Amino acid sequence: MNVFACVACGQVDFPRRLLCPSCGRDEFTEVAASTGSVEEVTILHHRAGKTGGDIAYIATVLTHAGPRFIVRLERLLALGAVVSLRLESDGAIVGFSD
Amino acid sequence: MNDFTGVSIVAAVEVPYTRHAPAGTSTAGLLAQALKAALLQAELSANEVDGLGVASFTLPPDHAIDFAWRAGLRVGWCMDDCHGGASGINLLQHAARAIQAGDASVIVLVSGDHFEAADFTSLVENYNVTTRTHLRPLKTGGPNPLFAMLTQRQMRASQLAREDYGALCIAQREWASMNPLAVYREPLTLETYLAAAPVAEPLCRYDCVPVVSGANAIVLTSSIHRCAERSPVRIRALRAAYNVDHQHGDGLVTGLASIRDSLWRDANLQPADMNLVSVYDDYPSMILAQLNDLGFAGDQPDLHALIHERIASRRLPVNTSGGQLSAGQAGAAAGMHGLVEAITQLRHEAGMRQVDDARFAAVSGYGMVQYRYGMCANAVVLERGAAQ
Repeated sequence: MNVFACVACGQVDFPRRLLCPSCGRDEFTEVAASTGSVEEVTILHHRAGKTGGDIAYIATVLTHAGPRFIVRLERLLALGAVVSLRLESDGAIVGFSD
Repeated sequence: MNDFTGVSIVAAVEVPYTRHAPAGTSTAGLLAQALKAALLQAELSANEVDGLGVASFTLPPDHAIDFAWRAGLRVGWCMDDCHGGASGINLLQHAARAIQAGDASVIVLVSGDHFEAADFTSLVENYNVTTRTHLRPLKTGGPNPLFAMLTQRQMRASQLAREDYGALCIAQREWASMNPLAVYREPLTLETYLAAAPVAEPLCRYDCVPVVSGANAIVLTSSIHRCAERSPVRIRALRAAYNVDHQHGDGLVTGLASIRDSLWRDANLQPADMNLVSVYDDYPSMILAQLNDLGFAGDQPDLHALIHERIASRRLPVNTSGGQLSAGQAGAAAGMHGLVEAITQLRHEAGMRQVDDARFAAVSGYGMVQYRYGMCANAVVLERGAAQ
């Protein structure tokens, strides 16, 4: 997983912007954001348009690179838990703890 | 120029919301019903309309100009709005300026949606590029998990419990019981609220708006128009703040905090002067955030006291239609619903739920969820005008 640092001012963001919200420049470098800590997690029971279905654990993760990700956890974790992050082929960011 | 002199709101209507719309219902048809009802209330003919604004998620591939043609309108000012929960006040801002500038003299603003189940799923999964790219793969089914986590943050920051959010939902349901247009009017008890099926913890079904089909409309004219003689409503102040923190914050503070001082200064009024408030209630936590940002919780906010001592007690009438939580969320009409309710109250046409001697109202809009919370917030202060 990567986040995006503005070459001009160093502002780090995710998702990637077209122009930096801090200085307006449009050059970014990718910065690794492979770990973070769980800030909140919600147990998702019901989704629009679906009846029944599996429970999912959706979390806000503060990455060590700065920005926050919205992720799916492989299993329910406590607040503050450190997780590793991976990007699935469908674009889902998944948090996991060994 | 921050005054809205010379502009009057002369009609505000709601096409009844329905959970399960009858066969043959269409978004354009609902918008046309709203247009017709608004013109009837204002005693205007369609030939007198020279401005149109439209907010709708499901009108495409048609746009405002297509709707104008289908509705037989000839206009010199035409606007599409795509600001969701902030669309009503955004349209109002632009329409009022168009009238002040002389670009139009009679403007109708309509908003509404008709959803089939697949329409709603498609909307929430493709709300914007960020949602489609980063949230849809998580199968969040829309923004409920995001606001569940925002609610958790608010619970921690303000020492609130589920019972406190339940009190908000119960208070709005009590207002809804006096609104024949609300889709849910039966009393809600705390026991029922606490026992309700969870959606995204801590949110239960009563914390999430029921999706409905429906439409709203308002009409603005110049204040010298004959329509403005009977029961005009004036704009005392209107401010908007979009992308104020670029999603770098926690979502507990909306853009309203950045415009609070200028809004009340423009209005030459204070929160204590308001007879009622309509705040965008996509979730109970956002009711509290907006009221706090607008100054209704005071300089040293105590949200617990705001809920129980002012809202539940009706000392501060909030979302007197029942809000979206009880009246329903008709897509983009949700951005106009609270505005229509406030105007109806100021016209003293709210029936059993009429707030006595209502003269001033504050209305806020909020929405357009980006990655973690809404990008948009706006607010207007309205005043009951004198009949001539």
